[in-house]
Amino acid sequence: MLEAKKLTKNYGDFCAVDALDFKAERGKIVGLIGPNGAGKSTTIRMIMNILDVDSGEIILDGQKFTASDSDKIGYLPEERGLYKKQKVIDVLYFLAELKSCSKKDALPKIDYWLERFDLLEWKDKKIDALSKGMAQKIQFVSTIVHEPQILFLDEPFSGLDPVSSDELLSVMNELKNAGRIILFSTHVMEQAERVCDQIIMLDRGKKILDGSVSQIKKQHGSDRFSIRLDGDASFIEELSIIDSFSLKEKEICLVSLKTGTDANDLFSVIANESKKQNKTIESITRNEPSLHDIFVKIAGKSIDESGDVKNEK
Amino acid sequence: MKNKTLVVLKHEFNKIVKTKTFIIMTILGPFLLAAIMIVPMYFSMKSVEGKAESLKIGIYLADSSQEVLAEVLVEESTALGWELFISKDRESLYTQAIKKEIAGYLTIEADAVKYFTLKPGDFSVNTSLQSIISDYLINERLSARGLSYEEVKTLTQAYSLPVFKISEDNETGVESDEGMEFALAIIIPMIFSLMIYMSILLYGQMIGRSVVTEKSSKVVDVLLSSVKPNQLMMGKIFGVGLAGMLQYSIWIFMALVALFVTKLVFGFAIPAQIAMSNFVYLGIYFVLGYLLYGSLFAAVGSASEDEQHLGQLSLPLILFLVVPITLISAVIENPNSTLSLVFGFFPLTAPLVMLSRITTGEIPLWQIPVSIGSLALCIWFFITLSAKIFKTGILMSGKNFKFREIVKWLR
Repeated sequence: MLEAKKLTKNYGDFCAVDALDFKAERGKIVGLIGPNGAGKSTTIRMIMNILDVDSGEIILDGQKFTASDSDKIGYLPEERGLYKKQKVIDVLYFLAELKSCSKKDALPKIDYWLERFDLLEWKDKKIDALSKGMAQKIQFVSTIVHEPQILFLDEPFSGLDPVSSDELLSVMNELKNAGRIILFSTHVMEQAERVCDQIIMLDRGKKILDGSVSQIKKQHGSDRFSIRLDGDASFIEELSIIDSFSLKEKEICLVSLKTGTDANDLFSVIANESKKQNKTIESITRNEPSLHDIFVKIAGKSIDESGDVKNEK
Repeated sequence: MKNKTLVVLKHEFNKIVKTKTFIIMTILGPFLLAAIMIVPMYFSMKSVEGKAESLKIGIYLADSSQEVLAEVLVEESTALGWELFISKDRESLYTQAIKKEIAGYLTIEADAVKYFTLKPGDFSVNTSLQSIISDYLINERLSARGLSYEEVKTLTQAYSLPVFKISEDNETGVESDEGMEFALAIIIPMIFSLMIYMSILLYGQMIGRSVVTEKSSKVVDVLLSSVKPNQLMMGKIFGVGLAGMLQYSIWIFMALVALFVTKLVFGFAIPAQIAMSNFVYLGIYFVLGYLLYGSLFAAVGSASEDEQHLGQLSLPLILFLVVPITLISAVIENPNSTLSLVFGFFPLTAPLVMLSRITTGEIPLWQIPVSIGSLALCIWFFITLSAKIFKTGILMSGKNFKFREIVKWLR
């Protein structure tokens, strides 16, 4: 298990990460999300020892995580880059060697992963002869050849075709099932929702969400309902407990509730009112918001408060 | 755990050594250098020879009493390979000179000899003519006092002073060829300093570029997840440096072989300026200078946004390399002047200036170990400094930093 305790980083007066606590268990894909400038990169860089920690500590399996543990990490940064003028195999071997992988260990593994991603024939080609998607897959391979215990993947799916995406996802699941710790960062919430077992959302250096996707949805999705009657539903808009209202069809509407009211209130009010108007309730269902909606709601609020989004450094 | 500095070193070394440019430069470099030196020499010799063959000069004899002088001129100049001829027609000599059929014409009058030419700046022609004429006139004046031509010749014989170069193990010394000696004393230190200047600049910029390419292509994030900034920087400096030393060893080896062959074939003694020890000093000062500038270029590279910005930031470094080049002839002529001493011990100019001072063979020997020792200390200081800048700079992006801001990172 990877644990961060009271992790803090300041750049001058600006607090990039503020006493951050989180746990990432083995065998889980943990999504690290948040608006630009939330402190994700800083957090990842601190864990990797690229940046010095101002205070707090990082613990892996009960042991303090130090610079000498860098071989246990695989990192796929958001901005991709490999030596353009060098051969695929040379670049992969160099990066594996930097993770203390011997030639005997590295070469067969490189072959295995290249084969997996259908890139074996490109082994002796130079990087700049590759397409963007291929280079991306090569870079992903470079992060896993040395069998890292912790994997940081920043937007791993961007630029990949559907076939490659699926292959990548199945590799991620394999690694997850093999008990690796996978931290996954993305701005595409549908992906996070689909892939992650746990979501941690950061905003302005602080953790504001932490839990499984369903837990988070439960916390943030209690006030939206869709209602279906056997007659005209437009009268619902006039009810005092309704905050927002939209009519989808004549009989179906979407509503959200005013704060301080809950599903029970909605049920009873609608039941009473329908009865008066000689209508019957066909269904009332709670609508789960998407992670996207939750993100926009939280991040949007924070952007309103701070006036603008600070640029990520 | 494998030493990661070594992994970076090997990678940088291979990256350079396997390029075609490196291979071509290593093999052809000395030939190019030789060509740069030999070709102009060849042409200047050729032009002297050419003059000897084609020079034609007319003599206009206004006063027949001076006919003897004209004849002497004609006779003496054949030894130089020139063709002088006597003409009574001044007008036609003028036309021929203007048409460039002849180089010029002399006019001999009762009391004066004058030379008319389109090229009055041709020093060698003027002096040759003058010496023939003045020899004749001295002869004339003395014969007037009753001395025979032969007697005059012996009496006025000039003395040429033989010069011997002595050394510690040779008291009687070796008779030296003045021109050759002069050329070696100036040219060899020049070549050595130029070599050091070019290679430090070349390899220093190579480091700077390597850092800035990794930074702008974002490879650096991946690298730093594996190695510490210090290891990355040192690996680069030593990797590029090793490639440079390989190139140097090959060049020095080629030079020694060439010298050995020359000695064998032409039987020339190797002059002091190209003694073995000077090659050793060339190697030492290259390594020292390279480490000094290599670390600074790495720092500057880490602070740069792209190659263009790197060019701006490395300008001051290049300036410190260029200044000694402009001073080099002053230093060689006077290796123990205050100027030479100051630049010889100022760390950034020391490698170049000290090397050229040493090759003159005229400085107190104790200065050599002192210079090497103090430079080594400075290198340690500069590497520490650069490592600090590197660590901060490598992660900073999106801004063209000024020097002032970079200095702040040192705190």
